[in-house]
Amino acid sequence: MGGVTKAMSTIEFTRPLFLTLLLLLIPWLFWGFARSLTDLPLRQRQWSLAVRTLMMVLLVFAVSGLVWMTATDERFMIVAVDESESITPAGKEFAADWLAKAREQMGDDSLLVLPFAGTVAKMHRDVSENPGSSADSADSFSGSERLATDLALAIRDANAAIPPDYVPEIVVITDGNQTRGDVRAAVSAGSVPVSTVPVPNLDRQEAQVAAVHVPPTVRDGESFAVEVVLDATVAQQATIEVFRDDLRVESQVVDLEAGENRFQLPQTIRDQRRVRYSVRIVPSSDTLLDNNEAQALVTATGKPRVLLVDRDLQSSDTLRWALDEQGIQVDIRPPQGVPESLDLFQNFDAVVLSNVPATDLSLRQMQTIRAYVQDLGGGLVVIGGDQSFGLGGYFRSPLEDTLPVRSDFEKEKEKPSLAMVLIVDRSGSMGGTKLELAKDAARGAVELLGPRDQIGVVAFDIETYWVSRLHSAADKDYVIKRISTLATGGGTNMYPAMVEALRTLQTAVAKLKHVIILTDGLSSPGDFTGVTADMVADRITVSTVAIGDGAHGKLLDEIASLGNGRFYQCDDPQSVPQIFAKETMTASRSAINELPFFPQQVRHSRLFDGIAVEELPPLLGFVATRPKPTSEVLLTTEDGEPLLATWRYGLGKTAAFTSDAKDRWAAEWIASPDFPLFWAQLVRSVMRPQLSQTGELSLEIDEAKVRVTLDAVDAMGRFLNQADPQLSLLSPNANASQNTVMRQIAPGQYSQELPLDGEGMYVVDVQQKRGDELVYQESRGFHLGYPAELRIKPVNEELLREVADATGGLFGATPEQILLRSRDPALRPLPLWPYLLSLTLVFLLVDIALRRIDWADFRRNSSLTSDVNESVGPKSVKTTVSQLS
Amino acid sequence: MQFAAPHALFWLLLALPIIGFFLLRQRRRRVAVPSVIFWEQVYEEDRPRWWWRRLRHVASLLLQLFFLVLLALALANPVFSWQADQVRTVALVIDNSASMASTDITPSRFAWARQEASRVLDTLRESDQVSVVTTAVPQVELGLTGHRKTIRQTIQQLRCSDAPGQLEQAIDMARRLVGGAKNGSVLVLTDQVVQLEGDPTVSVMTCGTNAGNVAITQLQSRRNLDDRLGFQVYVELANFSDESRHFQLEISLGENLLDIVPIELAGEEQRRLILDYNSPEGGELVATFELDDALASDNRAIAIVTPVPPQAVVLVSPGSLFLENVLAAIPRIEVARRDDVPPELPASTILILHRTDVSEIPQGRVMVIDPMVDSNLWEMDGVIADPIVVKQATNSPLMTHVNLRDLTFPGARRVRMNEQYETLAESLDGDPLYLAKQTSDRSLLVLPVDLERSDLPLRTAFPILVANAIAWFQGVQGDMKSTVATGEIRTLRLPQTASRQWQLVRPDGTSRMLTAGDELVVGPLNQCGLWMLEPQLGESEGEVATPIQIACNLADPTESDVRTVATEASQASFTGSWGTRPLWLYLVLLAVLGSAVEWYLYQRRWVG
Repeated sequence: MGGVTKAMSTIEFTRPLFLTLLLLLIPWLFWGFARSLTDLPLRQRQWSLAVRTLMMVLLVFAVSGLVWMTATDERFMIVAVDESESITPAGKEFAADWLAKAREQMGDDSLLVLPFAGTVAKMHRDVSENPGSSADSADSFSGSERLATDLALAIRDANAAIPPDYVPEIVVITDGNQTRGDVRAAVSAGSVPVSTVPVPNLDRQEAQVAAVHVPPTVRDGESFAVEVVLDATVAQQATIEVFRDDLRVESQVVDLEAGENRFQLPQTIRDQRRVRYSVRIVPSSDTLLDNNEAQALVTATGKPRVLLVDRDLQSSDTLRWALDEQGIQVDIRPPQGVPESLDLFQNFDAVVLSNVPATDLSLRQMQTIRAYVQDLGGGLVVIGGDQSFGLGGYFRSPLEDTLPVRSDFEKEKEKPSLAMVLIVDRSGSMGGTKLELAKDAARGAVELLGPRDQIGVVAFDIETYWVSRLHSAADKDYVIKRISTLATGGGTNMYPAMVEALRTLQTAVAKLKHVIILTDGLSSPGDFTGVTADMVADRITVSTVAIGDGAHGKLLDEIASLGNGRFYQCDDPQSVPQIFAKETMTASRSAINELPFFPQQVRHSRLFDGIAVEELPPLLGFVATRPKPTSEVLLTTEDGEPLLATWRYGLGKTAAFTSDAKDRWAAEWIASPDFPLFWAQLVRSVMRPQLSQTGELSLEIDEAKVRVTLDAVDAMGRFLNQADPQLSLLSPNANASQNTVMRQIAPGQYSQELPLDGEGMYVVDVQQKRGDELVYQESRGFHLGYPAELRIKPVNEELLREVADATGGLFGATPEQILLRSRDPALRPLPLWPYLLSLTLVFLLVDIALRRIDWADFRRNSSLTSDVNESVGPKSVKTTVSQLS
Repeated sequence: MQFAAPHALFWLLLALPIIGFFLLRQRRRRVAVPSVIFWEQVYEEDRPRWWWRRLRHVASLLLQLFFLVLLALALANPVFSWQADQVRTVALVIDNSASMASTDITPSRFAWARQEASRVLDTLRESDQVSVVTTAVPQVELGLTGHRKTIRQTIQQLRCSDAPGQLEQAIDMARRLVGGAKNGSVLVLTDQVVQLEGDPTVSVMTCGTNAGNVAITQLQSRRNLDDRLGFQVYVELANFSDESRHFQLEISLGENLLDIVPIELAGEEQRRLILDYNSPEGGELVATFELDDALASDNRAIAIVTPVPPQAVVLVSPGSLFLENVLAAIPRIEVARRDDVPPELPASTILILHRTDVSEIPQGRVMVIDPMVDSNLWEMDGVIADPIVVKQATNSPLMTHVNLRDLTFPGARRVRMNEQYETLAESLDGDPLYLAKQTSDRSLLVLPVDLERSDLPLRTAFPILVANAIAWFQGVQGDMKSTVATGEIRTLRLPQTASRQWQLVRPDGTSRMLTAGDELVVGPLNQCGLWMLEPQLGESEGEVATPIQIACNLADPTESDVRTVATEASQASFTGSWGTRPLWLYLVLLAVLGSAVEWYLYQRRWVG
């Protein structure tokens, strides 16, 4: 704080400009005196002048703000009381006692209590309001605020609240275990002595998992130790359970001593890329439960690992064996097994989707795959089939974003024309997102149709409405505009809408006719079987989509089955656009080409090293796609249709193979000796690279942020300069990662700080390139455990002593000791104007008395009276001047 | 209207004695004269003023009573109700971050901020409470007070920092400070754009122009890992303007000019330079350029080059080709090989005991490799069963760029130290495979590893490990000393000395005493330049005081980009209040005026 450090009483004027009035007034008084016509004796007039001058001086001093800066020893004490979670009831009681004693010493006026934890509460005077009772504490801070200790904030606020005209005293009653801010910085800025009073905090019976230490990386099959650090306040027994991911691998009862206990548990990782070790304890005596678990992450290096996704697991055996033969470890899963969380993707170097429709994946799964490629540099290979690309509803999906090909394409003229009617439920329950998604889906379907196709949209509630009558898809704008007018109504009566669709399609001229029904409710009764049978008789196929559990799934399934279509039970309305796209492409039979062809290599690539492409056997079919502008098409069909295309997407790489890897289209390829090599090289080409690591990656983690530092040197020990690494931080439960470029701070050294988002598992991924060459890549996981506030720690006396020493305060002192020690007094301004005005009024009386009484005459008369009394003579009558006045 | 001190109205009772004085008929002085004829004549001529003359006593009384009333009212300290309701509590947030030192406005942005703060102070009423908050290290410079002189002095004593501003935290602090007060408000004086989020209690006054600035935004030197005599300098330059700038960057080490690099930076260009130099000398490396731009503090930056001092090493060994070659490859090392321990060694000499049976380890700098027998410092306890390194220290300068993990040391021996030590590498069973101990009289490293049987000498880690050890003995911390950005707080690991007292000397020459344990926290470092930590040793202690140097630069591109983008919202000016003086003051001034007039009238006998 500013001001004078060594106080001495002084006088000062706060409005010194007013003193110039004296330059006018005093001459004025003397001038008046000099030209005076009054008949008072000179001496009396001189006294009058003196008194009047004094009055003027007093008044001018008053308006000039005469202030007496008095030195005062009066203390102003702010007691900051730690109310964080780590303070035990005994600690609170201790604080309350200390405050009560301080109150006795200080009185009421100059002592304020400042409760604090992760933040500060309002200061108050009344000790009884404060800490001691848990109810009051609970009122001061929320649960999350109590899970932190910010000593710096408390001291800064206390510093701010002390008026400068007191001798300041700050006392902090705490265990000294700060979890936010830096109290050293706070005390370095202030000049008020901060006395620290440690509170006992180990009186509760408590055990905790203090840390789980594992090596960040191990080799596949290597033995390593999971070191578990347990702290206990009292000797007791505890059960330690160790989980590897979700599997319990260790459980043992141990004797804990008071203090720190370390246990080493040997572990080995096989066939896994990243393993999470969770350690839980069940102590016999415990108070806080939140600190009984901690986690750590180990990355294993070994064979590359690939996730192969196929709805028919057996049909992918050939591909799995081929990759396995080439030294790639394959995990095969159905679409439902695709992780929805990015951290689970960290186990894999690439993902292969073999004939997987987008409709089998949730939107979240697709978004996660996209983030895995884009942000984490993962690889993705999509293999075709009758359920993939356009036929799998990839159009406008997150999957299509990542791929080097588009699922829509120019429909060939020789393909059969299609007339399609979309029957959309517009009942009240479809309002909001569902109807908007249905409209999006309908618009997407329109865009997928060719110029010779026709589309109509009929909506139903109680009534049936034509949103857009059967119209040529060549006029896409018109149809899309009409679809936009679709709005919700009330009731659900599907049957008339189906009849209406039947009538319309009966008269339509098209080779293929298809109906898609979308509903989320139970329809009024109707002859659904009859109308579907009529449709089938007219070679109209029917597919049905049920949104949510409210729809009549069984009926819709029957309609689809009878109508030679497909039934979709759709729990997430977000997947409706993919279903419509898939249905449109399937119904139009335009995307699939089932004629044998020989693959044509159009571009050289190392992917084909060791493979004689021109000698490869024919493939029996493929899915039509359209290459994206910046993709690299490596193989085509004989007609130039893309067969194999790759490109880089974000940090990763993706490939699209539009034929399949099964016996339907690739029956002859499977028998080829190049089959395993081709697929292994294709998968390896998109994988995250395995690099020899010459850099040192270090992480500094606290509760709010992580600082990532890369010390980059090449194999010769020379610094890697001007090669800014890409940094990705994957937060728990996040589908997208924070991506940034690390800043170079020194020769060969790069650093970046990123904020953390609460408890959970984080993955840091760093990639460094020199030119186009990737020279460093490392992923490092870490677990941010329970808040530091919940850790058992003894009182941090060292810090509290340091704070007291640095500021000139006392450590562990009583209120009396703090108050009795000698301190420099503070300067307190005492405005003197009331005293000056009061004095002026006193002089006013004197001033008037001097005018109204002729003191000389008074004295003379007194002496005359005595003379008269003494000499009796003839009475003399004299005329006096006063009689004339 | 209300009175702050209504009891002062009792002063009105003075009216009674005053009236008493006037009722008292003054007896006039008697003067004997021979005739009154002329007086009567004058009296007749003066008759028109007669009525006034009759009233002049009353007028005089009224004037005196008026004077009394004015002063009594002033003493009662009258306050209008609206004034009482509008007593303000104002927190002045004055940005003293590095960019405020910009001279694009005369004399500087910070001077403008102080001037504006003083001006605003003039517009506040005397009953208003004011506090002063600064932003570089957010802190309250002055708690709430109404004493103008103290506030003005505080504002005048503020200094612009070289640290980046933490404006939001400072505003939050100011908000908390005035939060509980009626009519609390915050006035921010800054060159930054502030997001007010519709908070009506915060007003912002922004200064600055679109002035360009060229800055050294990073400077760091580092000894090469493969050639310790050479070092690299990393310089990052940025041009925060639309125009290209041409200048010469001078690099000097100590008193020696190393290089002059001509630089032409295009508008908005950021340039990174890697410069290679060779010198065993260490010291203060300065990069500077002369350019007329808005901010001067970022035109100069310093770094510390770690020295490579000459070093005498005595190797007592039955012979190890690996060890001798590695030592020979380290620059400025003079190795003397012996078969026995010399009786006396200079304190600065490093003694390496390899496979010896020395049982009395001398004090000083000693590295023991593969000890054979018990000693005064340890006991041997057989061979380690599973001597694979599973854990190694990560934060020790001894292990920088040394990766021993997974390395197996067949035949490594278990040593049990008699005192506490630092484990640098540890086996699966927790046995130390490399350990260190440092006290005020001893620096000791123990590597209980048979070099001939392990892969260690074949690894690139081995020469680095030995080089790190030599540097550690010499007190040279690693291959570089990181420069610190202003505003940072540094925790320093202190060398073992007898002193707990350290003097922190700031770049401007001011100093402060600090008390330290094993570590010392220094900061926030708010001045660019070289900070020094000097151990305060007593004369009798006879130790050589090795100061610790910290190079501190404004390495903050945000702060160096001093261009101010003042938005409409940020230009909201703080409105002061009229009637800044208290009412009593006007009453007193009126009384002064009345008294002066009355004095004249009385002297001229207009009143009596």
